[in-house]
Amino acid sequence: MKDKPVISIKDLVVGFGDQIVLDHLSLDVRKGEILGVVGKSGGGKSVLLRTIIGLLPKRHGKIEVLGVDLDTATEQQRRALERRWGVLFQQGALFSSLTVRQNVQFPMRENLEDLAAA
Amino acid sequence: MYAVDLVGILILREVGVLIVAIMVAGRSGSSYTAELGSMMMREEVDALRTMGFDPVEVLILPRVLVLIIALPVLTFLGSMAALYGGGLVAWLYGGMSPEIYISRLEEAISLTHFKVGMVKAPFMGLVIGVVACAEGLLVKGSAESLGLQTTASVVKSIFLVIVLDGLFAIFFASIGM
Repeated sequence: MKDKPVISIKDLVVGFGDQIVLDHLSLDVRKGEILGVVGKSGGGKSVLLRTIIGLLPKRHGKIEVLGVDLDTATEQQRRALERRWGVLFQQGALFSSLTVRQNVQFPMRENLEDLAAA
Repeated sequence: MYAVDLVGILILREVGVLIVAIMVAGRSGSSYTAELGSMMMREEVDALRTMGFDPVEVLILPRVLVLIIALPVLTFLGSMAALYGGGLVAWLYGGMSPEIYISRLEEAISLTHFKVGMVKAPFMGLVIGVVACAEGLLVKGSAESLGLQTTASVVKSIFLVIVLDGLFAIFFASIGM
């Protein structure tokens, strides 16, 4: 099980309207591996990453993160996964209406019930 | 002299709630849209989704609820201020003493008129809040889009508030209030 990829993408197709941005892309990222995605502006780098975390809908294919398939995962599995992964967005994406301390506290505060139940 | 009747009934039933709703749409509605829109631009809403939070639950619901609570309070304050202003004008320009104004007002208005105005207020708040938040979430990456959506938010919510007031007028007429 050591070699099971952390992120596994098979045959991913993403498009907007007539335009196909990602055409049958497959990708594995193993544990401890650092992967950089390089490409020209508008080439679909952000689209790929946003699709992996579920912000953009995909047309075809299968995405597994930490062994969880986002299409078949239960609500609970999904929430557990969402609490575990970390994403740094292009704009920084700190909550601008909160102070630094509140930004750090935010996930703890909001997940307090779930943590207590676990 | 139906001036006092006109002032009392018009303010309590229509003008009080309508002016307050238009002011709130211009002031709070636009700020909701700009706030949520800039959160969209900075990918903060995406960040919330990624962390497993529903933006509707953490961003929109509290804002809409607050407007539903605030609108009736503001409508009450606005109507009272308007009645006070009406009395002041009647006194200074019409030469009607405050005692006569108050006693005529007591004859002219009833609890029904007050209720008609207050019942409408929370619905106005709901419409303003939902429109403002929905427009905010439609903002795309650019500052231009933020401006467009904020304008659209104010125009749509003021328009809908007036339409809603008209529908309420039909409703109250049909139940005889």
